[in-house]
Amino acid sequence: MRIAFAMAAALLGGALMASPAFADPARDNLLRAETQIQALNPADSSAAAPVDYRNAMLRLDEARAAEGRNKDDESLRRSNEAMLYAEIVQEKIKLHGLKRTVSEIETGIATLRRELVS
Amino acid sequence: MKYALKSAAAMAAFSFILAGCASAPEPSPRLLAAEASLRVAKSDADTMESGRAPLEKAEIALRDARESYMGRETDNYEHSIRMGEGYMQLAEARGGQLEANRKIASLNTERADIVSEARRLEVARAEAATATAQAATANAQAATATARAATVGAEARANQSATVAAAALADTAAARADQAAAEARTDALRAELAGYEQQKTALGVTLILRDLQFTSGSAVLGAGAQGRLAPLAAFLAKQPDAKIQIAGHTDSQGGDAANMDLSARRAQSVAAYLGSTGVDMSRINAIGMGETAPTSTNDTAAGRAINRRVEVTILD
Repeated sequence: MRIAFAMAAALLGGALMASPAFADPARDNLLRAETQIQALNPADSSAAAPVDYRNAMLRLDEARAAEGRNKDDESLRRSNEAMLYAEIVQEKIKLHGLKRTVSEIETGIATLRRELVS
Repeated sequence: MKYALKSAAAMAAFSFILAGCASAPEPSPRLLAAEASLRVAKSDADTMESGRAPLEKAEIALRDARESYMGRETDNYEHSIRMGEGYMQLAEARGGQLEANRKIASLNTERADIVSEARRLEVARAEAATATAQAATANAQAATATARAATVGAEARANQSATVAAAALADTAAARADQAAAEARTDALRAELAGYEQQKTALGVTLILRDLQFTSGSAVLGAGAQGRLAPLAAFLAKQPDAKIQIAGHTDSQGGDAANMDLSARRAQSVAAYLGSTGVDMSRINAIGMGETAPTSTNDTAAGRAINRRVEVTILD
């Protein structure tokens, strides 16, 4: 009885592991890449990292295409590249904002100094 | 067989050459550039501090890329070099963020210093303004004090002016009183000396005696002269402060010097008579005018009679 129960559990686990939700890392990676790229603000991305943003979308398209051709390996690689580009875009947006802050503070300081002198 | 051996050797040699060429291909310029960038990124302290993890991933990816390139695994190579380049960009971006954050911190400190300096200057300006205001207040107070002093002075001057004006009024009143007294005296004189011809002159009231008799050519008073002078003598007795001037006048008959001498002696005779009645001689001034002050013509007897006279002026 115990043996029969263990075998049934093993069969169920195996079936679950074999289901598409758990067994298609390429598809999962593609979804994560899409989510990550959709989270980017297009205006900020185009301003701060236009080339990387374009690359991210290009790789995502390629990943989709590979996934459509059932080329899981290729899709996995392209979606990984798309996620990396998306991360680069995010970091460059932050850098762009910081540089803008630096510029604003420098302008403020220059104004303060003028006011002090006058 | 020999041919077969030769062919096999040739094939082996060709394979060896091919294998040698295949095992050591020249790295692609892109790979070399990426590896060079990695070395530069690793030498940058900020990139290493904030992007260590991506740099490590980049290093692994580029190693894979080199192996894939050497193994002619094109797709693998392309993916690995993209990932390597991407991780380096990520590391550089984070290094840039670290640098920017440090710059912001430094600028914030600088700005805080400037603001602090501005506040210090503002306080100094406010203190200066307060000092200026205090000085202005002091000046205003001084001006007020000066104005008060001026007012007091003006009041004093006004009082002084009032005093002066009062004194002037008093003087005027006194003068009027004197004038009134003089007029009263003149009236009294006129009343008492009504028997004499009178004329108001600058010196006082002049009595003109044309009918006073002298011995001809001399200064001796005639018999009726004393009676004619009696009212004057009585007046002078009643007015002990009154002073008189006696002036003798002649006509133009005779020499000038003689006439001057004669007129002086006649005036002196009148003075002597009045002195004989008790009038202090110090009150009397006798002078001779000769023929120098005629009041009528000397061409006729009537005119010459008018010119011969004694004038007694009761001095004001």
